[in-house]
Amino acid sequence: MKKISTISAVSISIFVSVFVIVLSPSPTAAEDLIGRFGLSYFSPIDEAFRDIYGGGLRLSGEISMPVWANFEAWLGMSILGRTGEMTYTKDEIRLKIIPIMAGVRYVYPLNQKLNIYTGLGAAYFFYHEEIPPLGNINKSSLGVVIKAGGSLYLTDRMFVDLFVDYSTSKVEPFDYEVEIGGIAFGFGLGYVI
Amino acid sequence: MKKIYSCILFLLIVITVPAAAQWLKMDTNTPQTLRGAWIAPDMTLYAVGDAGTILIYNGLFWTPMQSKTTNMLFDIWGSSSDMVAACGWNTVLLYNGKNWKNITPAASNVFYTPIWVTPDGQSLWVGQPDFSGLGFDWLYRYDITSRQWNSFATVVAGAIMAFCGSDNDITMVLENGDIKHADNNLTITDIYSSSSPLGLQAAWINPSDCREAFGVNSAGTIYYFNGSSWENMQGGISDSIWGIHGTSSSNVYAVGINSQGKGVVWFYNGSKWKREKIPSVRGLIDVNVVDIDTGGAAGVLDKHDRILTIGEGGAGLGNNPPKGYRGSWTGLVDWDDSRRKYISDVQLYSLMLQIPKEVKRLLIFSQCYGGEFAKSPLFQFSHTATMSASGPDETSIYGGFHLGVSGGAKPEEGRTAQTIYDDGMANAYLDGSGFETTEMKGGGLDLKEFHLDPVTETGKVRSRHIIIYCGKPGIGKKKDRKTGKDLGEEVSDKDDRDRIKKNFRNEPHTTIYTVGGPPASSSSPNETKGTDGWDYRGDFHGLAQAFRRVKEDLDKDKAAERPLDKEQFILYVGDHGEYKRSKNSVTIPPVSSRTTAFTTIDASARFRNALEVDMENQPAFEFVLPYDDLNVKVQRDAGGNYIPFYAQGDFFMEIIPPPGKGSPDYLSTFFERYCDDGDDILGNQPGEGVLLRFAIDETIFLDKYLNGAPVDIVITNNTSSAVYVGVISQSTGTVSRGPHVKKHTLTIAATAGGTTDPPPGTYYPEGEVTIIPLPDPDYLFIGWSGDVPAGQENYVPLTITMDTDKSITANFRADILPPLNFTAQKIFNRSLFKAEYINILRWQANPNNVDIVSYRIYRVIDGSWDLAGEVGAGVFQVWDRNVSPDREYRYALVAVNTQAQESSPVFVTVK
Repeated sequence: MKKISTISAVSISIFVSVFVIVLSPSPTAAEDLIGRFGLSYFSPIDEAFRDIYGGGLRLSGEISMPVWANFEAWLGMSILGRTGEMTYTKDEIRLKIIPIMAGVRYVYPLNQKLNIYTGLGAAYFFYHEEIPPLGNINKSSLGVVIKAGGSLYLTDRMFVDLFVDYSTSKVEPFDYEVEIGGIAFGFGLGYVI
Repeated sequence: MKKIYSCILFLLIVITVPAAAQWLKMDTNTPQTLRGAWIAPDMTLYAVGDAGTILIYNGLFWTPMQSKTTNMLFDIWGSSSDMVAACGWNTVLLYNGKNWKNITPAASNVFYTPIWVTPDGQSLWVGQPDFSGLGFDWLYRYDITSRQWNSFATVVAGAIMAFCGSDNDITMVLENGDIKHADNNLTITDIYSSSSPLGLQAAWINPSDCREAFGVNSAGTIYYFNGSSWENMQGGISDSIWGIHGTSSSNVYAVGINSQGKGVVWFYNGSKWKREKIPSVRGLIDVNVVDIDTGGAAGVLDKHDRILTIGEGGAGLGNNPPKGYRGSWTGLVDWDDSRRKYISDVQLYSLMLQIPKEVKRLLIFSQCYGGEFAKSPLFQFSHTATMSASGPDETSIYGGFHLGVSGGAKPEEGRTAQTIYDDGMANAYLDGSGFETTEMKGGGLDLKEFHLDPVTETGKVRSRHIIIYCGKPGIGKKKDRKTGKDLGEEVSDKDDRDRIKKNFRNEPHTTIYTVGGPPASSSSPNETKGTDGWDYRGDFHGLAQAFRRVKEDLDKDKAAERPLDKEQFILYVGDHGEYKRSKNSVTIPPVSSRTTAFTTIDASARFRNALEVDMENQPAFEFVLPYDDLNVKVQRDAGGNYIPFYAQGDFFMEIIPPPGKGSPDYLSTFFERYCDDGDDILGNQPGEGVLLRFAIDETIFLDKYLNGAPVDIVITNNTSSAVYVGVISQSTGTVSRGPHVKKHTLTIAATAGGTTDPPPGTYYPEGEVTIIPLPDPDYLFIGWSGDVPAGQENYVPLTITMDTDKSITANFRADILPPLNFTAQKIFNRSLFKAEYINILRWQANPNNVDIVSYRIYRVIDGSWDLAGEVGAGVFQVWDRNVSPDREYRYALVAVNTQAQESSPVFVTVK
């Protein structure tokens, strides 16, 4: 039996909880559902990742809903696509990482138009790498994501969002370890449905 | 009385005036201007010049070395042939006897010159003159032992012109006339400060004490530094002088260019400068002169000096180079020396061409005159060590050398060829009066570098192949040199042979072939086996058989990937192996005006004159004019062709047949040939002289003179001088009685890349003819074609029987040399999620190859080769991808030519 790491166990627990909360039928769900779309710059933590692909733009989307007091449950995904080179032979290779994330955040209103938040979530990373000389890779892994940001309401329902998130997930494809997480800074638009 | 005084005066002149130097134009085979010259202690000549040109002269010809640069090179100096340095534009190079390595301290558009290697090879000093006018002339020091430049260069106040001294004690002459001292830390101190700038453009410091110096400026003014100040020598030299060098303060040479653009050489004998008469060459830039043996007269360029000067457009001049070398004056004795056959060093050299260049060779000549072989220019290569029981042109004054040598030739940890030599000398029968002998060692490889360690799979020696040659095995006598007392019998040559065989009998990968004595069966002319246990008969034919076996052994070793540079070849020539050729001992009174000499012609005898073989088969009478001790220079025309000493009409020959055979024959035309050891001086070696050959009609010869009866020969000397006549002889050629039988025609041809011995041409021989292929450098003999006996297409030498007209062609092809610097590196290559290991194989083209179209790379697995890939001639890198990180990979690389022939492989292993 495969051992499950602490991060993986926590991630699975968070995922299941948030899915249950967000997707379960609720009388208030339609009023409190919030949607966000964002564009961020993703910078990998792993040095080899940076050398091979570097950082780049990442698209993300998210829905959330209040669950208790100032806490919101959220569910989101993002997509990162990069083109890079093998370290010595410089063969062209391509990478896609799609993490599906879910978690809880605490929202603190500073005034009627502005609030800030911080949250913790789990992420399930799907990654795909095309390496023509050696074949393709299609795999997935679990990880953790931490978010923080602020929302400025332009109207009663529409707001702009500035955020930063940190994700981590380690995999060991060869005789070395790869960290596929990183730090992303971005902005987005949100709407309270 | 007057005549006696004249003779004494003549003798005094002959005794006291050394032979004049022979300035000879040297063909450097390059159009590039040469700027630096250096003569190594082993007399190897080096020259450097434009476009990265580095040339080496091995005694026979100049060949280019791979400098790995195209930069202009200015200067060259060294301490030995294994430690040579060169410098020039952005370049400092160091040669270790195998490769030139770039050690340039900084390449930022600067000139490095001059260069100096201390005599002990400890350090290298190089100047960097300033052309900006700011006075930043630099001095660099490179420690050869630690392979490091000093951390800092230092500024000297003027461009350096010349160096002298040892590592921590360097003296320099600067352009302005200042003389400076430098230590290891490049601390500069003043020795002398010039009151006014001299503007020197060349200088030389006398190395005997580094206190005297000569310098010359662009106006041709020559200065002499006497240890305390500069003096204007008032040389009156109007030419522009570019280089100056000498061996002592009374033996200095300056070279340059005159107003007509021709090269000039000036010589200073200690009292005055004199312009030398030299062949016409372009401007000369540098000169180097050494005293070979500290012999000869001071102030005279003679045969004891070796000089090299080079210059514009590849100009080269030298003295005493063995130009036109025609083989040693001695030979390896044949089993039947009555036939006056011998094996010359040229013939031995031709056999040794079958041995790959990488194989180290040791040649031991244990008898009289072996020094001729040990010092032969044909064996002065870096892979060959030689030793002998005697100096050149000397008998072995110490008997017993061979005893020590044959006993000392045995495998043992730490033993070297030097040990063999020492054993030989220790066993020589000394007379107790001391040890005075000519140096008996030669070759370009130091005897200490030829190891006799037992053959092992991983040691210094991986295989060894030995030939023992003794043309006339016999038993020698011991004799006390001082008392003359007979000390009894020496061991026989056969014992020496068996001792060497015993010494090496338990060695793996070792083969021994013995060549000696007459054929086992005298009735069969093709018998190759020798008598008395010798593998092959003791002549060239037998020796060639043994070499062929060695070649086969080496081919097997090569197939088994045994590294050639760990293989050895030893030729031991036994006690009665060497032979002094044809020194005339017959003296006939001088011919003043008309003298009759007598000779007897034996019909059954086949006279061969001692000097030349009669290739045209025309009968002739001839006589020798021995030039013993006359030292007469061979005359040549502008094209270098020999000009005869005597004109038609100077001599006549009258042959008076036996009674009843008709009237005398009067021969008025002759053909002149000469015999010389290659230095173009007749009379400085025994047996040299001029041969006058009077051809006679074959029919007359047969009818009158080939009958065994004595004839009178009358020689008329029509010249104004008396001449001495040496041997008078008759050359029968190949003649036949009765119906004239057409002689068979032998046509010998050679394809490009080589020649043959005898040379290509048409001949009319009878009986057996032996032909040897002589490939040019970097060419291979690939076989005979034409009327070759079946199965003998690759025989060397080829012996054919002239029973019909035959045509033989020696075929050569360019040697495909293996690529250079084949290296491999295992590297790690990865994406984010996948990775592999790659073996990166790199190499360089061999510049001496001419028609390479591709390179093949083989994986070598358990001795079998799998083709891993083939790339074009312009590709010098191959990746073997996705290899195992834990496995050892071995690769073989070969160059492939337009005929799809492969070079010998080079190997590399990746761990």
